[in-house]
Amino acid sequence: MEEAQPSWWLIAAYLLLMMSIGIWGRKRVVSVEDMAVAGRNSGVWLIAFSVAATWINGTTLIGISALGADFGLDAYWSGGSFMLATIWIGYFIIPRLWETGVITIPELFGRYFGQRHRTVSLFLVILRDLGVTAGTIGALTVVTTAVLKISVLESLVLWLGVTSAYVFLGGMWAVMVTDAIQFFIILAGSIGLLIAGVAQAGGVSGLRNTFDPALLDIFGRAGVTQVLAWIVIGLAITGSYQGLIQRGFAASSALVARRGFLYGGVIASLWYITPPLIGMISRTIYGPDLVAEDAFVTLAFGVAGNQFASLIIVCVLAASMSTLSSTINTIASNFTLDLYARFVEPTASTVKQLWVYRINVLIVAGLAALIYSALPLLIELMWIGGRIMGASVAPALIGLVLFPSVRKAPTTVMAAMLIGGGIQAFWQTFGAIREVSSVVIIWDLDPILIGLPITIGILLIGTHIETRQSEDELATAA
Amino acid sequence: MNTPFPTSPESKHPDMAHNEVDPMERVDLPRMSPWVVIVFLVMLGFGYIGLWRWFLRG
Repeated sequence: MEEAQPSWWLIAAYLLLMMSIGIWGRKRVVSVEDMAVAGRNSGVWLIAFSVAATWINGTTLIGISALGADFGLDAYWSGGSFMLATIWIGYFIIPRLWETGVITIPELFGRYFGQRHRTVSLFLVILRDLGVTAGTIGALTVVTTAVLKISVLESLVLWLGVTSAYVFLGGMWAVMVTDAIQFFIILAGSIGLLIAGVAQAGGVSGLRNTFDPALLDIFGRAGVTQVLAWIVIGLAITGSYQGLIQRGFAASSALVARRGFLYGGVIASLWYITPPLIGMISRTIYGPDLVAEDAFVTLAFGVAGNQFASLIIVCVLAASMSTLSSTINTIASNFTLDLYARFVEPTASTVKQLWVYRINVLIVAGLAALIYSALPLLIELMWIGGRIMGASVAPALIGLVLFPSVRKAPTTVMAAMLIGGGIQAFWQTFGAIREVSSVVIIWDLDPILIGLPITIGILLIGTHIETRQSEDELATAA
Repeated sequence: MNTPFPTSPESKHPDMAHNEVDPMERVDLPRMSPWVVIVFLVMLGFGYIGLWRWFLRG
């Protein structure tokens, strides 16, 4: 790894391509709606590739490869569950959300329940999305500081700078088109590395003879409860992942949104076995002394020549920047529509709104760099806020979409979000930890398995009581 | 209850405050139970891992 000579021209060509798409996208952006949801005019495959690319990031490649090296095939669930959930929300949730015409999730809560709900859901959604942004730039920094021999500061400035520049210019248009290109780069780099790794290990038969059997267990070292928790985290977080859901809002119709999520979810579900396999192969080749977090990069530079290794660096860049651009754009839409437009200047002109949005893009990028500097635990960084959101906003949102009765129960929804999020935060602070691995915490009982059932319980019982009371009041009045 | 928000003039979606019908109800849910579909998808996931396990164990 130390001897690799990365091709800067390849990296520069990639960055220039991304920037040129941003410049192209600038011409298509004339309103906040263009910035946030690409004018609601995107087709099925653009959404599908964009959905898949958004779910694949540097943390996926580095972090889930690390989990694969430590936990084997179980590691699939730490990412694959999100993809299966993407298919599910594409089928049941996205088309209905598309019909409402909202741009942000807090806006939806505001419309159904009022401003207090909008504020609470805004806080919870941003908590998650800022964590993802920080975790993603963190993973990119880990790789590029090691491989390209640049400092942490240079890494943060370079990658966040280019990403926020093309989002600043082209908004969601640039995000979706770059996503589609990045998806194919990710595919080429990751599958290429997998094939090279298998060859290095002596082919499939060689791997069969040398694999640690524990890596192939369905419930291996991670254990049944942690695998179950990963599945639940995936389902819960995806249920209100605004950066993903906004892809659906960018569709030209509800049906296009559904198909885009279905195709993107299936493609990404199949792909998601790749990082665990890369981790397992790396562990098999380099043995027990390999630091799990280095599994991906070590294999890349161990089996690939300089040119191929450079392609893999570009693959990591593409994976990370596709997610970064998405989360930066989505948080900027929250800052603009849910904060600025509400509290600062509700009647701002379209031009001014657009400039505020663009400045927010830069602010979000700066915030992500600060958060990563303060808390560099890669995947856990994504999951801390994600668990809180997944046990509060996600079940409330899914209830709101699937059950009309929940739409008539504002007090219950507020209670579910506050109590569910609060219990989740408490358990994450004081819950018993079994092991702190290089990229995640393994819990005795994952906090999501406490918080989510409580929130669902509150929603079920509370909605029943609240809607029954309303009916009784109506009957009395009649 | 409903709040205005900035939409561009090109928006295909007028503010919900002016709609009589809840826009979510314009889309019918699929006939399958959502909860059964979740279980089915998780089982598919286990099947997919199982396939790789079978392939890698030989």
